[in-house]
Order: sequence, then C-alpha cells, then structure tokens
Amino acid sequence: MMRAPVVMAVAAMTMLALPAAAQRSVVAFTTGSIVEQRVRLDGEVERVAGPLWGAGATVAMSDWLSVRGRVASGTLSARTAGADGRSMAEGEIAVTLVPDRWVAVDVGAVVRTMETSIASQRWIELRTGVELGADIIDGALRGTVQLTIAPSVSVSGQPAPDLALGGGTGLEYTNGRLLAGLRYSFDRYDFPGNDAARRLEQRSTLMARVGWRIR
Amino acid sequence: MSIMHKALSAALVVLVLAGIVPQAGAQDNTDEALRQSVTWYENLEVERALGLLRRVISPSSPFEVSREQRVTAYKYLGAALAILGQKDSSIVYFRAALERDPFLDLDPDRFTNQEQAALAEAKRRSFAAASRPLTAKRWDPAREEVTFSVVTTHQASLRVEIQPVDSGPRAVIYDRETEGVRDVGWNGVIATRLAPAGPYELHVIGRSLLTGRVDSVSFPFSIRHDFPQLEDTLPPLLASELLPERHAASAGRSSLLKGLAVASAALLIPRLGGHGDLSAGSNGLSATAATAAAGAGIVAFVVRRRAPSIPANIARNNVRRNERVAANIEIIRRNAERLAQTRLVLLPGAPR
Repeated sequence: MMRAPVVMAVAAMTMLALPAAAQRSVVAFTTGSIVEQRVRLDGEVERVAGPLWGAGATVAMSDWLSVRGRVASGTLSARTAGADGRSMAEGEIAVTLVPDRWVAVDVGAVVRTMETSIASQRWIELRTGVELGADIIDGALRGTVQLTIAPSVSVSGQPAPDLALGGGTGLEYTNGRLLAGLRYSFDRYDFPGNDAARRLEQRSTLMARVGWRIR
Repeated sequence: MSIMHKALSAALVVLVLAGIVPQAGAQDNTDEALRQSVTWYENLEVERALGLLRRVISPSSPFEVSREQRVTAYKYLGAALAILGQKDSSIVYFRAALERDPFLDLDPDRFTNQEQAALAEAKRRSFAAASRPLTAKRWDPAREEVTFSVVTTHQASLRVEIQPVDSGPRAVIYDRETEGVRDVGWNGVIATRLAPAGPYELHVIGRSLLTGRVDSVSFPFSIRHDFPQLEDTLPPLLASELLPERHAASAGRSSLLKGLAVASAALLIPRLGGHGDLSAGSNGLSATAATAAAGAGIVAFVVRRRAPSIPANIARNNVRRNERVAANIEIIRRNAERLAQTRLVLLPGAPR
C-alpha cells in the first residue's frame, strides 16, 4: 500500500541525478506538517489529525522552470468519537513555471495512501494551480496565496469527486543557502450522492519546511 | 578696309603683349640678369658684372626683384667691389645684404680673402639677430629636439625664448654670448612639463657687445600634441543606475499590508472554500498561518521603520562603485601610457 509514495520518492531522487548542466540550483528540504482531515459521511462528521514528516527536493532548471518532489508520512489520530486513526503517506511531484516574479503555475500529481486497522485507501490526484506572491521583505521574506484545482482525482473504493479544489497561503524565508517556509493549504472534495448522504472531505495542512541550497 | 583692319589688329596684339610679357617674365629676367652677372663675376669680367648688378638693384629697374634676389645682387656687388679695391663701397653693399639676410656668408672656396675681410668688416659695423624661418617638425620630446638656427652678425649676448601666446611661463632655451650661426635645440619642455598644445612665438633677442645695439625677431608657430586616441573615463554611476539603498517611507506600510493580506487569505480560504457542514469547530491551522503572516508583516514594518537602509543593496552598490573606480583607474593608466608616446608637432605660422 505504501508503494506509490515510494515511487514518488524515487522520482524525487531521480531529479537530483539530472545532468548537472541542466540544473541551476538544487534545494533539499525536510518538512513537518500538521494535517487535519474532516469527513462527513452519512451525516456524521469525523475528524482526524496528526503530524506528517517528510523530505524532498526542488531542482531549478532555469529562472522560469523547476521541478519539485516530496514524500511524507505520519499518523493521524481520531479527534471525534467514531473516527478511526490512520496512517497516511503521500508523495508529490510537480513542475512549476514562473512566467514572472509575482506569479507561478504548478502542474503535478499527488499520490496518497491512508490505512486504518480495517481498510486502506489510495488517492491519485492530478493537480494544477496558480500562486501569486510578493516580497514582504525584499529578497528575504515572501508571502504567497495559492489556488488549486484537481481535474482528475481517483480514490480507491469511491467514485471520483465532483469537485476537488483548494487554496492556501505561504511564507517563504531566504537567507543565503537557507530556505524556510510555512505553508497552509486547504483542500475540499465533494463526492457524488444525495445532499444529506453525500460524502464530503476537507483537509487542512500546515507545513513547515526547512531547506538548504546544495548548489 | 581689310588691310587697315589687319594692321589695327596686329598693332593691338603687339600692344597687349608689350604690356603683359614684361610683368609675367619680370622675375625670370631678374634671375637671368643675376645668373649672367655671376657668370661674368666668375669669369673675372667684374666691370660688366657690376654694371648689370647695379641695373638689377636700381629703383628704375623695370624688373621685379625679390628679397633673396636683392641679397644676391648686393652680395656680388660687395664682392666685386672688394676685388676692385673699393673696400668702403664693398662694405656698404655687404651691409645692405646683411640687413636683409643676417645669415649671409661667403663660401671660402669661391670668394677671396679680400672679399671675406670686407664681409667681416660689414658684419662688425652692422648688427642683426635673426633666425631661419621655421619648418614643420614632429619629434619625440623624450629623445629628440627641434632645432632653431639663429645668428648674430657679430659678438653679442643672445637670448632665445619660447613664449606661449596666451599665457604661461616662457622657456629660455639659449642665453649667452655668441657670434655667427648657432643651432639651438628645444626638447619641447617648459617648466619641467611638456609645452601644452597652442600658439607660441620664438623670440630671438640679441645685444651687440660692440655697439650695445639691440635687435630682435619673432616667429609665430603652434605646437600640437600627437598621441594615440585617449579613452574617456566612465562617468560616476547615476542614482538611476544603482539599487535603492533605503526603503521608501511607504515600504514599511506596504510590507505590513502584504502580511495582512496573506493573513486574511489564510482565514478566508477555509471559510469561503469549505463546506458549511464541515466548518464547525475551530480551525487552528488557518489561524496559525494567519498569525504567522500578520506577524511577518508587523515585523517587516517595525524593521523597516527602525532600519530603513538596505544593507544588501548598499553592498552591491559599493561593489559596482568600486568596479567603476577600478575601471577608471585602468583607463587612466592606459591613457598615461598613450600620453607617454606623445610626439610634439611644430607648425610654423600663426594658428588660424
């Protein structure tokens, strides 16, 4: 069940092995996230939350093109009665285009698995989004706002959601080779079904990231 | 009628030619007369030579006589009269020649001692200080000199100066007793520096040690510096070419607003994008993100208020300024090398 995130990790490692001439900079980073997931099922709202730990790398091919890979895993504990705690692992790979300093466009895929004591579920999302950014402190601290949409989401054992979108904000700090960031993201998935009984999911993530520019 | 007409035409042609030809050939006729006189003089037909020479210098001579031709005529008159033993008359003609050409001399291979003695006496009785006309010259002031040929007809104190026409110090390039022709050199330096380009005058001032009489002559000329083209130094960097070294007064507010905008977005996204049935309960993550963004804006606001300077930009600007200074030092060094190759050019005459 953990195979997909491993594949993503391998892909991330492969990025680091790209020909040196094609790489202008490489940033390796670790992440620590708090994830809260809310699911409405049959009128009941379940809430699980917990930490995820991960690592990844961003390889900049040029001033306007970079590739990012990331893997993370952790355990989400039940926060409401009737909810089941679960382990969660996810991997992401995305290509970022930066047409100008204030705007970036992301296109990528996320693979996520969640396992409870009795079942497991795999999510595969193709996502795209736009990120608007501005320097809060020139050259040091940057604030961003993101909007994302997932036009293709497949969830094992579930029909594909009718609606999958999200948004978020970020703070990115740069000082020499050190890069640090705090990113908040919010994702919403509305699955098909009658209004009262339809499955709804929301996931909020607050991810701290510390990176180091290797080259 | 036809014969009359032809006769009138012929007469007209003769009259016209009679008026033009003597003027056109006046110099040639004087040259011819002088050549004939010299030939007779050398063939010891002195009397015939004297007659022709006197006609050349006569005020009633129909021929034009240049200064040089007149000097030649006076010279051979003096020489001829010296041979005939008319020493005083000889001296008179030699003095007339010296007045026009103080460089006058007699070739010892062609003129007798008697003639030489008469000229020497004429030189003692006359006094003139002069310089040969200047000629264009280009020279390396580090290794070469331009030479001025000056003369006094007899023993005198002679001073030769280079005087800038506009202003500035003069260069005294000769100041001592002398007699006869002397070549005076000048390397182009005035007061330990190369003479600046511009108009100058060569002054030759002589004071006779026999009579106390003073004579002087001046020649205008100009000096030009000849060297490889120099590079212009780069101008100081303009403010528009440098990065801002201080934040604008509004920069702090701008940072605060950006931070607050991100904070607002963090709060609004789950409210606007979330499903109503799932929004119950606290949303601590978005509040944390909003607090962090607002805090960042406030910190940036305070930092910029307290320290509006931008150290990174100052450092980058200083690097650029230092690079500009270094580039100019290099240009100045290259220009100095080119100036060291300066050649001076003397151009006779007043600059136009």
